[in-house]
Amino acid sequence: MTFCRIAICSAGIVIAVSAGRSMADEPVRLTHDGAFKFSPAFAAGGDEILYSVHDVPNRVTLMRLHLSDGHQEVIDKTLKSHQLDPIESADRRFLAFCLSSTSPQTVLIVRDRQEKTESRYTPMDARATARGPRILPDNQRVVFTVSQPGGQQIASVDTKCGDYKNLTDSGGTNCWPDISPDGKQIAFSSSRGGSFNIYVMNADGSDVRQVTNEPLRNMRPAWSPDGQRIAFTSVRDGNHEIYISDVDGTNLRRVTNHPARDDYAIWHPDGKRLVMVSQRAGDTDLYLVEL
Amino acid sequence: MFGIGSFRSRDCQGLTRRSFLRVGASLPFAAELSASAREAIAAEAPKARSVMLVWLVGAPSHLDLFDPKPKAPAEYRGPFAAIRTRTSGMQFTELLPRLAARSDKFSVVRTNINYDGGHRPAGSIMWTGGKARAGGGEGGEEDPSAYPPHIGSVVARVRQSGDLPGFISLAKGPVGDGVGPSLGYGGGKWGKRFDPFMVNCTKNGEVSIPDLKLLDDLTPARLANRRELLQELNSVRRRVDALQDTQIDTIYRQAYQLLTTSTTLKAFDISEESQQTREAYGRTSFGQSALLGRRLVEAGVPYVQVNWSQFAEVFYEFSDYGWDTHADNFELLADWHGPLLDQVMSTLLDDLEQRGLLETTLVICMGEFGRTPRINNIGSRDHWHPCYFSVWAGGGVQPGRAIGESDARGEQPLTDPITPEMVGTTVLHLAGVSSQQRAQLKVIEGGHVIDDLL
Repeated sequence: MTFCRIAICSAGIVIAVSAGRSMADEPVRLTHDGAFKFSPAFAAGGDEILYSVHDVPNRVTLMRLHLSDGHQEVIDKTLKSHQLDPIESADRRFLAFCLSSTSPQTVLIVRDRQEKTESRYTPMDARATARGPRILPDNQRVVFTVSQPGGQQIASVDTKCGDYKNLTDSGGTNCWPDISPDGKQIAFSSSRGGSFNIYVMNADGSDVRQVTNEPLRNMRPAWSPDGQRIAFTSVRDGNHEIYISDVDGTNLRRVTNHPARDDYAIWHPDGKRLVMVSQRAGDTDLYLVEL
Repeated sequence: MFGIGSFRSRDCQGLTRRSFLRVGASLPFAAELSASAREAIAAEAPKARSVMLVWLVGAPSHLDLFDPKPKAPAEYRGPFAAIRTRTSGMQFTELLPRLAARSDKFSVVRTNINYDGGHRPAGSIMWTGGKARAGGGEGGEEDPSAYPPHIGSVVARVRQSGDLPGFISLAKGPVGDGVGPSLGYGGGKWGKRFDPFMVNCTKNGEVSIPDLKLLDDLTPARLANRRELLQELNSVRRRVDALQDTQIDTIYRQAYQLLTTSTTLKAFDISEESQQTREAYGRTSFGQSALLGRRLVEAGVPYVQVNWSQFAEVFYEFSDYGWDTHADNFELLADWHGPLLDQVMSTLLDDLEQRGLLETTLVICMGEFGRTPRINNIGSRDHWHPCYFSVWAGGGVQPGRAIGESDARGEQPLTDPITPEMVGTTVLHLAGVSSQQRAQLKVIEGGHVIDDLL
């Protein structure tokens, strides 16, 4: 069984670790530096993971983890300010992330590697933030969170950071968007009902549906590669744990059960595993979870 | 790892000559007072042998942490649910489950006030126990010598601390905002000799003294020869005019003693802690600083300030994720600030208690003010100084109490406000600095303690 899993796995380091383990459901630690990481995202078809890390005291840095050999590298050594929430398009043409600037705000950066251009969306308010970008599968638009007059909303721009459109217009805080594999829907968290819960809407912002309905936080939804399920973080029992449900909220399954914080789940492209940020060994590292 | 200057050494032989120079200037307390003067203001037996101020620079939201308002309108309440604590009738938000489970170890004041809504002046007011009086310090005064001394400087001046400095502040540099440090950070009108001994602790537990980059040619190998070291120090002393102090010999002896005595150096060496303990505090600068603070308290340092960050701001290019969440408050608190505060403070309280130190260590956790109860127009919270929180534990404080009550929206105290003077007076009282001594030193005269805490 282990051999079969090795044969179909695309990530060398994962293969090596998995081959030596007898308990397939025990999370496998992928990094060991212990620094606080957040906003992971798979890249290169599952061979790499991009993430943000509190690297040095004055900076959050974008990192790339190569799963084949465990090598971690800074994505852009020229950047000296906080860099947050990296994401690449499936074809690697676009890299989007958020960057702090000379005011207490963060801006959205979209780099087009094909045209060798960099575009920037700067929120209207000098204190506002852009966070959590996601690139539509057709590479036409970038969905992100922006704090703006009226509240924190989900919005989108084209890949030149123009043609701004609000996708939500509700009270509360709307954040952590993730786009379905077919590009037709967006999952996100919103506190419009009082507490953070998971919602799903069409990519144009229409037809908002509530997925979870809990008094404590439900955050950071992530679509499964087949588009049928959503992984998310919930603190419904008082601790950060990873859960999976169908897109309509049914068939809820608790994936992790550990007193430490398990958070920031993303799906491996094979749909059989998740990667999460966990503090289960004390430090904060990336872990692979077999489903 | 303990590093000074531009290199590190486990046995602290990585000293530069500038290290000694600067450390000497930072060790004023024992040297400054004559024996007779010390005797004259000898401290009473304190309930708090040590004080730990956990300083949340940038000003955390009281509604989103220790004073939730679940029945307030949505534009005030915020998204975080209120959860029960072990203290009857007291709720925290869901961001603090570990502290909620330990609320019997500490008390929460919910009616703190400050007199200013700017980070720098408000920080100075809280640290010094009130507005600066004659001599300036209010509204744009840029001279630290115009400020009253920090409470830590007062405690250190009165209390003996053996070979270690009496007031240690753990941060990369003077704490404040992007404009500059809060100028009440140290000795103020008493002089720089009463400034805190600044120590930086990284997320990996590497300890260093900031700004010690001069005289790098004095290598660890050379420092191993103490005769050569003393010759070097004498040479430096002759060359340097900056320190015109008749007590300089004593200061140098103190510096030499601190940095070459293994027992004092051990206090700074986090690597002596178990991996389990280090991980419990978390691999962040704040977490490891709290652990270092506990070690310093254990070693007998009378006043330690553990700083969340150096800068108030979150997202400026220079800043380091302070609590000044004008935008993105709820996402940031859910991601970073809330879980980290909950982890580190609960671990610190557990650690102090398990080592038998909590009873004799006064722990205060607070910022310079709170944040607007009404959510701002970009979905976040701004500065709010008329009402906010502080957490008090150990050192003579009665735990398990909610002190004071704010109104239904957390905008104003419903009960008597707790002033900066009351905070400062209470700390000094518990640290064994009597009202007579305060009068002699001319600090926070006329202040009274927070009776409900005692």
